[in-house]
Amino acid sequence: MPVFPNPASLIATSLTCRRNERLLFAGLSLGLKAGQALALTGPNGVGKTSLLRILAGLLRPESGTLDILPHAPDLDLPQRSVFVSSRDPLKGALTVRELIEGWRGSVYGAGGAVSLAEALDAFELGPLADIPCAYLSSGQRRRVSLARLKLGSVQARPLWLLDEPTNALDDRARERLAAAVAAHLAAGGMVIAATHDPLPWPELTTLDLGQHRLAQPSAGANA
Amino acid sequence: MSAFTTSFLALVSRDLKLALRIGGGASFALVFFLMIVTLTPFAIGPDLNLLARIAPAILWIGAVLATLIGLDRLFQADAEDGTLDLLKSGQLPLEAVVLAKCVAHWLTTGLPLSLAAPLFGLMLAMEPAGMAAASASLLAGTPALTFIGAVGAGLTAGIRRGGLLIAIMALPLMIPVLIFGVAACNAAVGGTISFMTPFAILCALTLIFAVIGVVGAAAGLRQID
Repeated sequence: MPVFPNPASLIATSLTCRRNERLLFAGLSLGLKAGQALALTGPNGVGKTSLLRILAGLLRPESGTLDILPHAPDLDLPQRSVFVSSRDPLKGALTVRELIEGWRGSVYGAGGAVSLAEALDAFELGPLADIPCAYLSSGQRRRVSLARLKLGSVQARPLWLLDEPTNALDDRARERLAAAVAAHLAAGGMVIAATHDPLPWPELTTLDLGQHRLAQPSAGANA
Repeated sequence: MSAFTTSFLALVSRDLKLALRIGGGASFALVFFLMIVTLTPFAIGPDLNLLARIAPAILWIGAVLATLIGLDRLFQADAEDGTLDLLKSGQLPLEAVVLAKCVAHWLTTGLPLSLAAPLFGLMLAMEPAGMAAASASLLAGTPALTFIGAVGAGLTAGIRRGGLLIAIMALPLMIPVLIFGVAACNAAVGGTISFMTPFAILCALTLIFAVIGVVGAAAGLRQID
């Protein structure tokens, strides 16, 4: 695992995203430094998820550049962040323990940041560890999804990208998430979350994507 | 063991677990294979000579069709629930992910078919030499079927009801494998060519399709965003 002496930062310049012939945003630039969090807000369909997928390296922007510093020569953009999408990648037939162990083994590497027990503990999944995922409630599924945040190391994956992270979470789980985010920021990480809820997180600034929306005939009605 | 190997094996074992548990469908292919082989004698009637002559063809057609089972979910299940995003951001290159999933698919489809082939050959009045040849040719040839199907599965992972499309795309490409597989079986029980000639070509086909399948399926999966 490479060692990073420098603090992390994210620089995105003039990103343009077009989905299905529809221009979502153009010329969007944003920067984030170690220890900072950003909340993406805006009406439904404004491109919050698309922006997160671009930042995660899963969706190619039509134009614009994207850089996560310091560079890691042997890691590509998708390997520089932990992206928790709004879909929970759970397998009904596997137990919570098997699932997270599988993520640790096949995605983040067994040499990841924390042990399996710590990852389970971060979102109080200990009592659920041996239950097949098919039997979990939607809030519990969300907590299992979020547990993978703990599996990447802050050096290799300084950026957390969270799509509607608080959906279906109860108050206690939201506190756990806030604690995990605070710990990640304190360790020099960065967090970007698309959300409709107020987030009680430290060092949080807000970017309203609705402001970046271009003047389009159809956009006028709900602007 | 390197980190790469560990991750690869973790992925294979995850897919094996999923296939072997309830709803995983590991046994479907074998049961479907059995159905095809059992139906044939009923359709043809009690002509043992005819049955023995066409037995390799029946076994191979059964194997080709049975391989298609489970292929439609090879990547689609992961694409639907977001696991594909997770794997794309993982430390394994997408080609290695495809290879791991193909290995797991073959271990739960092609391998059981090959091992069961002698047993099913009994029902088709095959000679012992023919049974051994059928087993060997299926062992060598079924990986090619999985890799060919993987390309179709990769291209249709983002499409609902992609299963039929996979069959339409993959079956024509499986014809060479079918031809040399049956030829190897026939050569073992008589004929003018030696067993090794078609068998070596069959092995070569598997190696070629291992490369094409892995690269092709990964390219297809990259298009899904």
